[in-house]
Amino acid sequence: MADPKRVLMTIVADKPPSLAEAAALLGVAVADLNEAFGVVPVDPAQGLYAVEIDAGKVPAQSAGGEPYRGPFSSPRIVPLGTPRNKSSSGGDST
Amino acid sequence: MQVPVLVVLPSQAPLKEAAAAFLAGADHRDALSSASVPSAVALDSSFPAVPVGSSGPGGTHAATLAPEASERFAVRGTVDVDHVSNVPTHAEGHPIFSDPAISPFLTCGGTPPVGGAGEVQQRLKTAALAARGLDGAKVAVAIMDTGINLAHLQAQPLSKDAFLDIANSWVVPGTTTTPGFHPLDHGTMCAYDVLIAAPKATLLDYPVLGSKAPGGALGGSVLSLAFKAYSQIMSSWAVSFDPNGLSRYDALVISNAWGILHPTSDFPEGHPGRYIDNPNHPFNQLVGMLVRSGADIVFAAGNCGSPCADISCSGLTTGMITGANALADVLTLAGCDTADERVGYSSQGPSIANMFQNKPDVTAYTHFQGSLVAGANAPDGGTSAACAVAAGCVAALRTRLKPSATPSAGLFDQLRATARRPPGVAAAGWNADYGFGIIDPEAVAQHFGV
Repeated sequence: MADPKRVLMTIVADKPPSLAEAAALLGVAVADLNEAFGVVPVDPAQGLYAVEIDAGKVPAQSAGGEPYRGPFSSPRIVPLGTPRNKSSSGGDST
Repeated sequence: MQVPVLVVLPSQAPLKEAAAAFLAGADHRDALSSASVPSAVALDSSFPAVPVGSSGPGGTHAATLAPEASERFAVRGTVDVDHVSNVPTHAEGHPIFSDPAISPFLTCGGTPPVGGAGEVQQRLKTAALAARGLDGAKVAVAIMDTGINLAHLQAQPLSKDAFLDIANSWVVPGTTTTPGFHPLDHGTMCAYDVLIAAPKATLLDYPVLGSKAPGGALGGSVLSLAFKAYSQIMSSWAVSFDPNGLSRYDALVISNAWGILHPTSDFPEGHPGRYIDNPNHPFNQLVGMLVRSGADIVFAAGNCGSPCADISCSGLTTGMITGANALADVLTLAGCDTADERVGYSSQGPSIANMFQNKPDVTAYTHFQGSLVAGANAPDGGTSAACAVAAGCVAALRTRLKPSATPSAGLFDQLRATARRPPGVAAAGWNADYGFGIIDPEAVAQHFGV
């Protein structure tokens, strides 16, 4: 398995949280979250938001009741252009 | 079982007459039906008698292949045996030869382009769509890809009028490339292929696969960047209602010609946070939210089909339609060439366990000479091109089919219901290679009366 540097977590909040509020809900430092990713609404009607966190800083899960879920993977994604196979000459995937 | 065979018979008048009639363009069947044929062979009178010359010393010469001169003729028929291994070598002393089914060579990654964008337009009946006013006007198509090079598009005759909405495109946080000014790559190919059926669609540049994306590598990125992009689209399309935002368009189509690199790049099987087989992964949830807000989302099936899977598939060819590409709410595209033959790398269904199983949904054209992004002899290929072609078909239909009246599910249902049955597929319904068949947007337009 690849070793992702960052993973996704979802949090539940009554209103759109700031990055600092999201960090507080997760019990981690703001610096552990990806500021460029920010807090992304997933299903605001259900109060569901996502953040990206350093893989090594994922908070522990207990029996439940935390206002968060995760970690969720963020695997590598690639274009699906002309494939390379053993009979082709290689090159990129365009 | 009836096994097709070829039988070589000595010359006789009916065979000469049948062969001569066929060569003259006349009906050969009456003459053939009076030929003397071994009783074990049921003659196929639709197949003419074929002169095969002499069996004597010196072999067959051209002169002996004339019907009147030939000493032997081949005819086609069937023999009734319980197993193909029991087909006799001779019938009443006459040799029997096999007549196996043949099929064209599959188009694979190294195959030159099969046809061009013009053939794709003919197959999709884009002239008929245009006559109906179905050209993509006031429809936005987001290209979730490596970024668009607008100058290249505008230099190609087919896409010379390409229009990009820069204000509603996306700049990846931490990067500075202006939308439409990306290096020539896969994203420009997809943009071109969208415009084949929807020449007046407005392009949106979402470079989630760009090499300069944070966390990305050459020709790839990570899922969280697509997640962020989807959030941006969701906000502009369904939340802010800014009159200058995406809500100014009548419809929004999102082309996703990407997938994960390999299952091993995800969390291990059984992990609750895994992406590829988990409808509750937050990205998959966000895709569902966007569909429910009225967007049409189109995905490529992938290039892990048998027998020509991409080397990155590591030989895995089953259960390789994964993640959002395997969600019930999206339209998932297999690929065929312009001869309607499935390309040998197009991922086959069913999807990975736990996801919607009957994927791909339909098939669209790929592996044709189109955008010239990778050079004159390189095809617009992969299920990427099929995805983009289909996204263009959806955009064309959306010109007069508003999402409020015809939600995505209804439109996709009709694309499945009207898909053309591919060659060699006898039964109606879904199959693992083509889904429900080859996309036919004109048939959908007829169904809806637009």
